[in-house]
Amino acid sequence: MDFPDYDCVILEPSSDENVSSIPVLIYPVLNRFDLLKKSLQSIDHPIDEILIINNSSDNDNTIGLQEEFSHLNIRVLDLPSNLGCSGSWNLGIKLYPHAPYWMFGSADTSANPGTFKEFAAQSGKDRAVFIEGVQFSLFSIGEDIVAKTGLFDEYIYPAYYEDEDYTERFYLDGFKIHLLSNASADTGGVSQTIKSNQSFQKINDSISHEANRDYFNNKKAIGDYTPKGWDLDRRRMNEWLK
Amino acid sequence: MIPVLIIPVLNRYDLLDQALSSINYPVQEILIINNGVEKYISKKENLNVRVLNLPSNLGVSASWNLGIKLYPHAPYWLFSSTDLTFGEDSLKKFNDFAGSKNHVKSNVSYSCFTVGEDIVRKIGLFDEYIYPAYFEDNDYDDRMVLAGMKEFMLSPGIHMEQLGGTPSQTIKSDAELMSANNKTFNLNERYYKHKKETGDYSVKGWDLNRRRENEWLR
Repeated sequence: MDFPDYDCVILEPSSDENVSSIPVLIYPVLNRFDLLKKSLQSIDHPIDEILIINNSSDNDNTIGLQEEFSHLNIRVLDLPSNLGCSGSWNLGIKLYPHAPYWMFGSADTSANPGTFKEFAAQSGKDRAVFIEGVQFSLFSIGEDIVAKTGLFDEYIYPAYYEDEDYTERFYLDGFKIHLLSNASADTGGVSQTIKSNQSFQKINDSISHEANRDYFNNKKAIGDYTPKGWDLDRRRMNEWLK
Repeated sequence: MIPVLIIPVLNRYDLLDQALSSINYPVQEILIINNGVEKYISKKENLNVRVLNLPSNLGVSASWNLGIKLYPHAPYWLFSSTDLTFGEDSLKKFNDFAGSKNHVKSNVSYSCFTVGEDIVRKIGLFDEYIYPAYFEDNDYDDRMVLAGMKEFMLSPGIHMEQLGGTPSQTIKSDAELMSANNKTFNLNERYYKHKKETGDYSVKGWDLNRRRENEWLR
């Protein structure tokens, strides 16, 4: 998604030298653990805890990760199924309820030098912070936003349109999109999660993307963004890991 | 075979080990949701145990909900506390009486129970506004009755051995939790009573301020 329809606040580069650590960085990951490692390698600023939510249902994918990145404080949750994007982000928020803000990463996105420091310097309790062109692949959401807007809508499963939905909701609640002017990241263009797996691609194209788009468009059309939340039938219908 | 057994735990891992040792019926997968500060590693190699060592306490509702979300294709979900043991044919009976339509309780009520997929489909998940424990069960019962599903609430005389009564061993074992619960119990009770009085059982769900207000582990 892009942010052309929104008033955005452009954040000038931070001049602060004493930037505190990032409280938590949450990574949902479904495949391409090679790219996750590359993403972790790009971390060049202190982070109190990194939560890897392994949605692949294969524990072998994360073996050795903590040892390889022993300089980072990594916690891994090997899940038996795919919680999806909204569900994973929400789980991260719920598990660190006292954080002033939450930062989220994607396995297929590597930050360029200085980017994490900019996030640490510019994130805050009433801010949603992004990089233009990177959007929800690397971002932070402040506690005031979660307190007022709530969590991501888990009716949207497993991916796509949860980001647009949340943007609409927090924007309607009076929060602004903040864009870092001095940060960048490599996303590889399209989601490598889908690109790397024909089965995901097929189900996304034939079922889940359309279902999520229709749900979001209907919200938009009627102007009611109330989250329906997690739903058993919807979860089953949009399954990627058959 | 029981499709999945979900056990949230906060402390007293000795009791959890006892509970796991008493399993005497096939269970496809056992999910331990470890909400405590101590890391738990299962020693039960004969069981298919998956442990999620969490960085904080999700609470009862959210732990149960996480179990449901993580096994979305199960026909029913079996939940248990740590402070009990599975006697004789209790697990077999659960499997006999459970199924997609029913909500089966043992003699220890919500300390060991099942929820079928038809119920989750119609009633939804547990209300996570209730944190970290107590009254999420009363709320769910009321919602079932209100939805006309009382006939599917079964208590077929399944007997479980449980240590002590109310409050649970989780709370009894930790003076700090006991004190914290004195506050949160009242807050959860007030929320539940308000629902009952107004007849409006809408699920508020997880809320950041409520979550922080009701924190047990500071």
